[in-house]
Amino acid sequence: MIDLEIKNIKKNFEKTNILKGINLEINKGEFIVILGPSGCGKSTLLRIVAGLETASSGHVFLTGKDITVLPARERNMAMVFQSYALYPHLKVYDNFSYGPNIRHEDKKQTDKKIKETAAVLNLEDQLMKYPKQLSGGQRQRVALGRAMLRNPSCFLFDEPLSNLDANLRLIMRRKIFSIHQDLKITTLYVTHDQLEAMTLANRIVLMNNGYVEQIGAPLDIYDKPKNIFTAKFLGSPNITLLDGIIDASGKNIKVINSKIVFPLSGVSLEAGQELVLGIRPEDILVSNKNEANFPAQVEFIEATGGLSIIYASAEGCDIRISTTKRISATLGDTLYLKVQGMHLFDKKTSQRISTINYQQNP
Amino acid sequence: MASRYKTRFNWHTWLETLLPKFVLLPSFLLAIVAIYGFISWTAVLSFSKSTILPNYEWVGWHQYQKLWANPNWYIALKNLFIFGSLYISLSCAIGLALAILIDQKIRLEWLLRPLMLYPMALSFIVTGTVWKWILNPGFGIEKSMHRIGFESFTFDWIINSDKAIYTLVIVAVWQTSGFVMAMFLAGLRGIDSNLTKAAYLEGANLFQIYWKVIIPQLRYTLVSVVIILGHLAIKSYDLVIALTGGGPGKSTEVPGTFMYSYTFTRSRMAIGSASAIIMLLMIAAIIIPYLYSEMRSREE
Repeated sequence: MIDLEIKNIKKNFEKTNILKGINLEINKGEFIVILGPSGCGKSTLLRIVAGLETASSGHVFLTGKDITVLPARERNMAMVFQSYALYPHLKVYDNFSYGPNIRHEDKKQTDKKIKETAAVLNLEDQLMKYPKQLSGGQRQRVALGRAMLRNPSCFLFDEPLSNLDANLRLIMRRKIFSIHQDLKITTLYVTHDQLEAMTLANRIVLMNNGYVEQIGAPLDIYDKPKNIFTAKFLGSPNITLLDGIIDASGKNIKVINSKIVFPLSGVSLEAGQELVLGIRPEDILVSNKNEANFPAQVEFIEATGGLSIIYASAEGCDIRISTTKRISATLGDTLYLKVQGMHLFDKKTSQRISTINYQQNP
Repeated sequence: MASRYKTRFNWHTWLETLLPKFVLLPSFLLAIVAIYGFISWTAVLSFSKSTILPNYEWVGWHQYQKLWANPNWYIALKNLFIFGSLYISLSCAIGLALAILIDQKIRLEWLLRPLMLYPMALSFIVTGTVWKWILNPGFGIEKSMHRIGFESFTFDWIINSDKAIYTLVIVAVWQTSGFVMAMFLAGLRGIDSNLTKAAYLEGANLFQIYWKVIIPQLRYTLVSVVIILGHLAIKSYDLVIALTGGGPGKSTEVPGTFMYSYTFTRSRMAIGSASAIIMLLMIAAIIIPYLYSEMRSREE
């Protein structure tokens, strides 16, 4: 069932187009993460859904009702801000009760709900403190609790974890995930952090430059990136991109300006077709001289214990490899690399043509 | 090597370290003499037998006893209380209202803001003189209303001894509410705009947002405003002299005018000095706790 529908939303600030026609259908209870680089318009889109900003054109529907011009306070949505936006002059308890009191909800009922919410968020001992007496993580939990007490038809998150340190971010991510599991409230979550997007979302909406580039389940987007931008944006370290061309026989892909050649399989392309090859770092194996596709020189290794990331160079091409094996190589050493699979993108349109998996078709 | 540099006299560094001290010295000396010296002198005079000229015969608390037995002093204090409380509360209310209106992303803010600040740029003497004309029933508002046909219109507060104190309030409020507005506006601009958005999404209307979220956060600004206006009210002298001269009768006598008339025109310098010291203590009672709390909050 479609809960929230965004139809052809456009937004111009004077002459700059922030949003260039966004369409999105969100099912009831779904957790949608809007992901994109800064300045792509994702926060503007969220504010339009919240009613804090007006769209230049287009419509927003909530459970079939057009809410495009409905004031924010009548939309029954709750928002969590990056800056927490707690009322600094009120104690945590009063921060919680402010909204319910304004909406004239029953006082006893509110008190009970505040205590339950505080228990869920481990804030029982903080209720009589002021926001400035709390740590960043506690403040973010108060902001979350305030949103939960709204009992909203829709949760909106605007980069809620960006101000927290790495460890707290992980804990809060799990908290948000489990709260969504419990409440099953439709959620729109804006972030630039791909890890948050991959771990939280039912579906990711990947935005760039005012457009939606791709919508899909996290692993679907990762495995089948629609275009070069998507392939580059998701995945850490970045995907390796090489310019290639189909050779005269039509059976091989030749990397331009090098002797590296990969067999074409699973798809037939015309000779002379220009391509961009996208190879995920985990699809490159460190192998031996006989099986390898090409040799490469080590430039830099980041050994993080569980995972080693190798930056190498092959005939002027930058190659990124990630492996769980510990590689004992130093700067300038030659590694023999074997590629297990790659994405083929059309050089002209940036769209993905096909994905080759060498493991199934050796 | 190092010792050679040390022993050599260097004009440049010598000048660099001492120049600031030289530059500040005259104003420092002037402040010592003209402020603290004369405060001390006034204090000494208040314990003396001075009349038209200083007379250093010590009489202890005698002049203070006479001051607190003087009915004119009580009139001055009562007037100060009426004027001060109305002046501070009205300036705050009008200043805050203007600040909130200006904060609504209105057009022409660049024009309105300085426009409302300009009265503060006038001296109280100028303000007082201009308003004396405006309020004068003979050729001010009242006369103008008569001329356009409202024959029965009367606005003679300035010559009415029951109402004259309120004309002081009107003029002083006119002079300072723009300044109060600027202070509150700075406070408003310092509040995280996401707070308004959060409250808005929680279902609050604009009135509720201002009353419960925004205005409570201006309380530190309010304290500063009250202290600034409070000490202006206590030391008010020039406006009263220019507007009403303390009259009609003694109806707008305030401690400032009391002090001047006893010291310089009524030849009772010791009582005047005693009243000046009392005014100093009143101002100190406002400023010292403020400075103390400011310094404490800065240390934190």
